[in-house]
Amino acid sequence: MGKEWRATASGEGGVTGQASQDHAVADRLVPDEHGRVRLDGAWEFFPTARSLADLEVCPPEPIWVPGLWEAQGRIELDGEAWYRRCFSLDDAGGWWSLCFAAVMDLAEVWLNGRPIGAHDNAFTPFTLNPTGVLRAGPNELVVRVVDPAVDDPEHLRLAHGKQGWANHVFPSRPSLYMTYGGIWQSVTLRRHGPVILDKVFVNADPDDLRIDITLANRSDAPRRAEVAARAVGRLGGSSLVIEPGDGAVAVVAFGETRALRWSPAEPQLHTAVVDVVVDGQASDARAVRFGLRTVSVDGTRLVLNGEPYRMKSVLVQGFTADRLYAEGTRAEIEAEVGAARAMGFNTLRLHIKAFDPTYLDVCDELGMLLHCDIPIAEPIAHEELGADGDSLVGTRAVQAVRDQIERDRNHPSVILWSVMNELGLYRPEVRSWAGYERFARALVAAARECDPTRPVIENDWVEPDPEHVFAGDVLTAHWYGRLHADYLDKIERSSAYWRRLDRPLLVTEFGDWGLPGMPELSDPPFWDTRAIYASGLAATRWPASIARFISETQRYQGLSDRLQAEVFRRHDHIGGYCLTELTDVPHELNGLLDLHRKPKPMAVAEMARVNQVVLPILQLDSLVVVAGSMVRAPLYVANDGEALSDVEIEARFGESAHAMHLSGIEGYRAAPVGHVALPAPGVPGSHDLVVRLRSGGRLVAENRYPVHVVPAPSAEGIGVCLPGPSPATRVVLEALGVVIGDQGPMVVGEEELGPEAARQVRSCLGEGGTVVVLAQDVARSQHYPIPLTLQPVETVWGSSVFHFTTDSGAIASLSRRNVLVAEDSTVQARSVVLDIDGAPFPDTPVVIAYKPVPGALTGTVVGSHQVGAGRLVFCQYRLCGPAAKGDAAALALLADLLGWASVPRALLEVEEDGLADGRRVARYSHHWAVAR
Amino acid sequence: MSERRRDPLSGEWVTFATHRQDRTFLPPSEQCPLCPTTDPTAPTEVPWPSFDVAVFDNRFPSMVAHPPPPDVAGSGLHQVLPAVGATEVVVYSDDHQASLALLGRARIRLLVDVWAERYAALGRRRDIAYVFVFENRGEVVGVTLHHPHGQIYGYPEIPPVPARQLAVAGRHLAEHGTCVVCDVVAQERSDGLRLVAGNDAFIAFVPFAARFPYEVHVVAHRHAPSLLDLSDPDRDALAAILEDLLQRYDALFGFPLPYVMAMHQAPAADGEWQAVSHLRLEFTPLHRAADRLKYLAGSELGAGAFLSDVAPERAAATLRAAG
Repeated sequence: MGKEWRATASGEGGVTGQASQDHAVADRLVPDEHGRVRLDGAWEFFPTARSLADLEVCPPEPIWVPGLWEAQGRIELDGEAWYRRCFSLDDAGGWWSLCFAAVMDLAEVWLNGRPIGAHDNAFTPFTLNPTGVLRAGPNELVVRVVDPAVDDPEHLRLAHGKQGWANHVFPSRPSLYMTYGGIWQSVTLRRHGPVILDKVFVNADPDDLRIDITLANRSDAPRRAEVAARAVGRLGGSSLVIEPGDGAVAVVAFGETRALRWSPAEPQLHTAVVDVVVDGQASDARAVRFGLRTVSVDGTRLVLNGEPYRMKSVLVQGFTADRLYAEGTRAEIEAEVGAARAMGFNTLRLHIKAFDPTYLDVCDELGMLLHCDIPIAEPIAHEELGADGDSLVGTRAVQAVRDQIERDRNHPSVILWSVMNELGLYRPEVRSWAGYERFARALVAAARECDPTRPVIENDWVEPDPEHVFAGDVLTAHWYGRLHADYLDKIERSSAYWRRLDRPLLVTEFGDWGLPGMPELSDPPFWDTRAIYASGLAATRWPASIARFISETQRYQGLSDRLQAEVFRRHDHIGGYCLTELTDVPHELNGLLDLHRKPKPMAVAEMARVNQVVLPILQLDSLVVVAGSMVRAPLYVANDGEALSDVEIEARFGESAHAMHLSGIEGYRAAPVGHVALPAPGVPGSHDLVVRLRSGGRLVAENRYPVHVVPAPSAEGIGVCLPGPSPATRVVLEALGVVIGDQGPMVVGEEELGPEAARQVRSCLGEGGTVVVLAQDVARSQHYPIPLTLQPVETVWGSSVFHFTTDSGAIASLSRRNVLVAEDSTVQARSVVLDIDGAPFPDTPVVIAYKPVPGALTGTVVGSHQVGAGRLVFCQYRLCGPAAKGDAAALALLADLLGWASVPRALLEVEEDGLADGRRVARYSHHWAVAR
Repeated sequence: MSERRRDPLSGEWVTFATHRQDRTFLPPSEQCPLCPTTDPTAPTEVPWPSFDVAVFDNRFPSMVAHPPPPDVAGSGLHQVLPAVGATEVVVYSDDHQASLALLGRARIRLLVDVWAERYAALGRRRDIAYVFVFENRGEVVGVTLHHPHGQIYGYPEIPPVPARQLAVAGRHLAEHGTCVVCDVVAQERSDGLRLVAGNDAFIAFVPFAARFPYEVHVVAHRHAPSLLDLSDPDRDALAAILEDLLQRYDALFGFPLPYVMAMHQAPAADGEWQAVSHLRLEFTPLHRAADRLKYLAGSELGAGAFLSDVAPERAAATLRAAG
């Protein structure tokens, strides 16, 4: 046994002082009235030890349990590390259990030099039997903890959750998707009798309440166990003999009960008290909290307590600012769940992690429903997938399902399990492999065996893909995209396409991005990304403050999230949605709160709006309309509550209004109810189109759409010339009143900048003319008259490219110094000008695209640049297609672009002369050059 | 006598142009040499009846392209060189009564283009290392002609003030990896305490350690080493902020405020100047009150150590409230 020492605890989560091998003092621990001894607190830590013997020679460091070692300053430590705790007991008699609530990732345990067990799941509890090894007097508990690095093959065989996820996109640091290690939940030693209560499961069914009790005989003799259970005013029990080292199951059936049910609105909790008596002595006892409620699948719907349930969920990953991949305090959890509830969410998706049970306790108490993921996720050893026993990964995964569900199944807030997430994301063909099917079936079977009361999602997947869902009850979709008319149309079509499924469909992931607030911290954490974003933004030519940019991106995020959620709410067969996500994780900026739990106010407000129980929804093609034009849109009402009668719906847009009366609206349905038609305001600018729904004269719901009203687009009388026939461009230009001939700027149509057009462009510029080059693809960059790089602006998994205007004001229909939210959503660029003539920006950038991460990008969408005596105006927005269909944003932008290109420019003119004494004199003036 | 002598104590060069003692001194307006030529028999320096902006070589130059040899023979201690360089006069308007503040935005914009053109033209000369655009306005700063005008000097070496500033900028770049002026601009935009005016491309602010009470620097937001690095909109913005600032100056005490304007840009001499040069226009009015001047006295002239009795933040607030 090594020398003993005592570290000084500075409070929960931190340790100060140095371990000293000179202080041979073991903590004297005394069991409480329940026989429990808590082993939390200061432990010795040996990050360099590689064997039990090394503990005799390696100097220990102090560490706090529970806690991840990364959260205690050892950020770069991967692989193996050793823990030691020395303590003293006055009495070691009787039977004992040593309980680890969770060790990340692999644990091997020695007590007084003897191995007593191991565990290979980072998130679930395990109990070891130290009886006979534990002794009165000093004891030494040693735990070898292994945190396999992301490139360790062992990592691929673990239910590791988010550890090491997508590090190719989001490397650590500052990403928190690193691998973690440590005894991150409590350690307890417990004394009990010879028979213990191993598991207690209350089935929560008010029509047939039952408690399954699993017992284990820890002694070396047969034991008669008298088991008793009390709950909801009932008492039941049984008597059974258990052989030494064996187990048994007792079932106590209470039948129907009229005790209060648990519901989100009234989260009534009950307690089941179970005890076991052996030889007239209490051997073990357990109090289990539960709620009475039912959850089931009825065709394509989920039903909770007999009522249709529509999911309004937000995804939680369980990262915190200081504890990293560990949950906060109970008060912090209460605040977080309360915040989600205040936003109108009825469900949280606890994502690929078995959360600290305190989190589930809080949700039970606050009535927040939970969709719980088992932490089986990429990266994983695809080739080794199979059923329990087929491979290590199969065995571990099945055990992960069992361990987590057995731990959490008594929480009434939990209504749904996902046994894996996006497995095969980067290798979708895996889903067709026999090994994958065996794996999927085994996981679902394990879930059903442990908990037959809740539906199961097999692989929370990106598309419903029912052909590759072998046993799951519910189908899912993860649909990510940015605020773009094409994208909204795409998810509209996808939603409609899947309307004939035989199982419920949930959109369990979607969501756009907004930057978090960036307070300057005196002691920023290692993951703080403020400097990255601030310096990135400083290089973009954004003309206003960082704070304003941030708030504008949050406005974008909110509207994008809301409009996507509205698509899902319009479709009655979609059982609900889960927004990604409640809090940011660096660099994943789709949180409604940042990692410090500070809200993004505008994003929060928009989600609260869309989460209303009753929601009137307009299906608008665009949020840009021409002043005074008629706005027409189908109107839907999504009602997730009781039926409504005497319904009045009013749409108001500036001074105009449209009203309709309905005798009633069905409950728990989403359905079209008519059309709205009303004139847009005559004054350009931003106006809200407001829809209010009243029932019996009482205001029930309100929705509003920020609509950008532009002046009637016109380029009447502007002359342009075209370098070729350009029929598509010609049609659009003529619709704007443009005179096509040989006067005015040259206009090169979209994808028409080829060798011949390039020759004409050079000639025009050489004469001091202006050339407007409409959107070109990347391959055509070689034809521009000056060196210029076009860069695609693909949206990489959820990240967003923000567009903003500079102070140029050249495009009048777009406000200056503004992050564009919906103003350009119908015309977006596929690529931007990354550099021009060796500079990052043209002379006059008008619209700039900026993507912070991943793959930071800053480029110009609309701008102009002097080329010799001439001027090049470029626009990477795709205008012609939408303009040909009458899209207001495209027409307004095109008209503005042509107007801008046609404005004369000031060129310096010099006239020289000589003075009598031979000196030269010059007079200067501005010559106003016309476009050509 | 026209020559340049090196001070062996400071290492700085002093230009001697004794013929300038004879230059025109505050002539009556009808004899102004900078007015347009309306009577061909009485030509002025500008041989046209009207003009927007005119530029010509100074009739009494302190430096010329082909100077005569020095009058004295130099030595190792007392070095002397011919007064090579350029001295140009930039006449802002053909209106004798005008001033830069009142020219109007379009004319100031033209002036910006002219400055840029002359900076480029003089900078191409091998004998010129530094192009310096400046204006002396008002008799208290030594103006000898009232007609609105400025000057451009082309020096054969980088003069002491910009040389010291460039050295400081070089050290800052080495230590921090950034342009010191960019950092100052960011700081001033962030603090806001000393800002006088601003637009999307420029700010005008009282420097943190202003040497004169109402000293103001006009600086580009982004790292533009010279006028040639400004886009058309940037030049528009420069014209706008100059007009704004000068009108504030004139409103400050209720009379046209005398000042010295000094424009610093990247040197023309060979060297790695782009990273350490950041275009800025420094305005130095001598007034500390309507009826009081800030004189350069013992500390300033003798020791080069400036004392000021007006807090820059207060001066900025006063200028913000003016105009």
